[in-house]
Formats: sequence, C-alpha cells, structure tokens
Amino acid sequence: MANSWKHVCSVSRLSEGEPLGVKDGEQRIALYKVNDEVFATDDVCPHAFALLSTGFLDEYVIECPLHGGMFDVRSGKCTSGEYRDVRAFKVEIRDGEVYVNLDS
Amino acid sequence: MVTKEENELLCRVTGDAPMGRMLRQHYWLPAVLSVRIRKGEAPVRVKLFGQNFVAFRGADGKVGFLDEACPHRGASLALARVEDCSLRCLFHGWKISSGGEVLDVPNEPNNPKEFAKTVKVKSYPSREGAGLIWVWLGEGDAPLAPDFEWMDLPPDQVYAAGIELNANWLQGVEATIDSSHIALLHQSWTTSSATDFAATRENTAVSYEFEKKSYGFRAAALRSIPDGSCIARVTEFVMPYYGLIAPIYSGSHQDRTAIIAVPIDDENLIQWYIYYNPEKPVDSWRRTQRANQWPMAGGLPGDKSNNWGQNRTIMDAGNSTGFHEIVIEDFVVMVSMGPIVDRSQEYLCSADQAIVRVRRQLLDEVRTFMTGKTPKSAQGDSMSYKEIRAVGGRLASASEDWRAIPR
Repeated sequence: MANSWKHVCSVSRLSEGEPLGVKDGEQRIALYKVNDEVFATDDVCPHAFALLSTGFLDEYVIECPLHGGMFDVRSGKCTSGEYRDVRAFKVEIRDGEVYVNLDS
Repeated sequence: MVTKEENELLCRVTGDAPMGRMLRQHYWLPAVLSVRIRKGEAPVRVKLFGQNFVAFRGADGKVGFLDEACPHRGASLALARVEDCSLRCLFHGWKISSGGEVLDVPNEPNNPKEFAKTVKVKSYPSREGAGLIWVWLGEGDAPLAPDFEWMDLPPDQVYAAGIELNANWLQGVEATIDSSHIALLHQSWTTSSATDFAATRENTAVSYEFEKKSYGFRAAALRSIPDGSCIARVTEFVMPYYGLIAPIYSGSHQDRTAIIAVPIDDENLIQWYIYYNPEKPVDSWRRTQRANQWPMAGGLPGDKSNNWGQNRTIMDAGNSTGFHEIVIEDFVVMVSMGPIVDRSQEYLCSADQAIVRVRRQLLDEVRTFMTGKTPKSAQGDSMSYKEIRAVGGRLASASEDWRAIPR
C-alpha cells in the first residue's frame, strides 16, 4: 500500500484558491488549496472530459469551466447534481511536498 | 454555456440595458474612420448602441460628435451646414457647437442669447488615433482615452479598416479570443511552413493557460509539437471588446493586429481592425490593400440566401472554405450563427475556455456595475494600456513559461 502514495509536487506550487493540474504517468490529478489545506481529485470531469484544474474554485467547490458541473473537492461529490461524482484522493504533506494516494 | 438570462445580460446594449450603460459610461470606443470625416463635407451618421449620432470636421480640422437629432425639434443634423466647428441646423438655423453649446437661435424673438444658454445639448469628447475617431458616450466627466501603443503612431506605422456585420457585438469579441479555429477555419492560409501562424497546423488540439490582469486577461494557446517543443500564441483580451492577436512570427519588429468589436445595436456590430508596428513602417503592400477600407475586404460576397457567397467550385479545387479572404471567413461564420446567438444551446469543448472567461468577466463586471459600483476594468486615470502587446513564440518544451516571452 505504500506504493500507492505518489509524490506529485512541492506545496509551494499551490496558491490559495487556484487549482493546479499535474500528472502521475497517465493519471491526471487536480490539486486545490483551500484555507491552507490541500485536496486532490481526478482532473478529468466525468461529464465531457474537461480538466477541472482549468475550472473555477469557490471555497471547497470546483466548477468545471465548460458546462458548469460542480464538485466538492473534499469528497469528489457532484454538488450540482447532474453528473457522476469525481474520484477524490487522500493527500499528505511530507516536508513541504504533496503526496497523493491514488488507491483512496 | 450560459443561461438565457445571462445571454440577454451579455448581449443587450440598447436603451436601458445594463451592459450598454456600463460600456458607454466606462469605456471609449472607435466610432468611425478618420478619413470619412472631411472638412467641408456633410456630417456623417454613426449609429452606436442603437443611438444615432453625427460626426463632422470643423474648419480647424477638429472633429465634432453630436446626437443626430437637433435639440430643438429633432431634425437630422446630417442635413446641417458645417460652420467653423459647429453645425447649423437646416430647419431653424440653430447653431450647435462641437462642445455642446447652442451659439445662435435666429428664430427666437425674446432674449435669444439667454434662451440659447438654457438649451441642453449632449456632446461627446473625441480623439483621433490609429486612423480612427474614438469617442466617449457617457455622462459627466470623461475618463482618459486609452493609451494603447498604437494610438499615437504616425500614419506609416498604423492603419485601420472596418466592416458592419449583422451579428451581436459579443460574437465579434469571441471571434478574437478563440485560437482553435485558426488551423481549421483558416487552413488554406496556414499551409506555408515559414510562419508560426502555420505552426498552428502542427497540432490542431489547443490547451489554454490564463493570466489575469487589471485590464482583462492574457490567454496562452499552447500547442505541443511531436519534437517536444511547444508553440505558444498569447492573445490579450482587454475589457470590454479588444482582442490583441498573437503575431505571426516571434520578435519585436513585426506587424501586429488588434480587433475591436463595437455595438451598432443589439443585432449589428462594427468589427474594427487596427494594423500597426510600433517600431517601423508597416508592410506597405498590405497597407495599400487594406488601409481605410470600409467595408473591409469589400464586404461579404453574399447573404444568407446564397450561403454568403460561398463558392463550392473553388472548394472542389482545394480551397477549404469557398471564400477568398481570411477575414471574410471569420465574418461569415460569425454572421451565420444568427444576429444574436442563443448561448444556452451551445455545447463547448476544452478549447473554448478563453471564451468562457470573457463571458465570466463581462458578467462579473456588469453585475458590479448594476450595484452602483465602478467595474474593476473601467477606464480611468490609473489604467494604462501602453505596455499591452500580444506575443508568440516557440518554447523549447511545454514546461518553459510562456509568461516570460518578451514583448
């Protein structure tokens, strides 16, 4: 299970309220910093494949830029109700580096 | 995608519509080509935001811009005689100065001079630049006219052309910020491999990054090339209707293009093109073809009944669109969407993010305006535009920062 924790980037790359898209191999991950906490979800919107990291973050909700789907970044739940939930990943900060558990 | 209500808020600009009021109050706009307003000639009608104006040039060479209707009983001042820098209405000889004062009321029997002082006339400040006459249509004190780097260039370094189109102003704005159509709509013009413009063909898939600015935002359209490099074309969106187009080559010496979409009314716009070179004279061959064209490129070669003049015979021979001019291709697709496109019916893809952001910014600013506040990007003493310049370049890899591409 230790292998499912992947290092993705340094915390310093994240700005409050601005999503960041990263990749681990083929897996696209969106990182969000909200009130100094870091969250992660799959970066691909389950609706039509837009990247959530290019969307608009308002508190804990990421809005997909194309068709307005909204997801809570803490759980991945679709709060606008129309689309499937997106996968949310557990995040750990170790020595200023962001680690994401892709099996969570 | 926006809701029907949001679409109305974005598109409607006439009468009391909030977007129209905001645009008129807080932003200058180019109204008419300078060359069309000549000393000693009839005043020229100009329609903006569904309102009718006249533009004229006085004996001193300075431009006047007034409501078309005489303040007396509404006769058209397009009929007026031009005297000094004033218009003498044909009907009763009232003389209206370009500064909005009534100088003479020859038919008034009682105290004409005192009476004249009581007449309220709206006049609109204007300035010339880049071959265009720019005006401010708001109430009260005008903000400083925008100081874009093209405004004070000499005639051999800047020229303008324009066209009236049967489409809502926002369709014109969106045309300037949408990068992904270049290699597809304009594929006949991008086959030459010598230019970075042609490099847009190397990967028709476009990904976007954005940088917010006080005047709007920068939109970097990024195209990855098989060799690992990345083409970056950075368009500047300047509120409320300017698109500064990324240049064809990298480097500071080249000719540049700015496109400005200005509302005539809810269903018609003027698409202005400004071609300029801040460092040396513009390409004289293109200048000869384009400068002061009205309508630009001779206008659309047809209308809806004949698919706007699309020529399928040349398409059989390999022309990709059936039109002879790159700008005509842009105009035709814009007009073909209908006079006001219903954005609640669209289905966007990831290449449309720049368009999504334009709308968000316009909605955000007009909602601020509707609460009685000044929009963030309003023109004023603190807003300077002279450093704004679209850039483009080949990055060694996608991780190189496009924000570092020099002006």
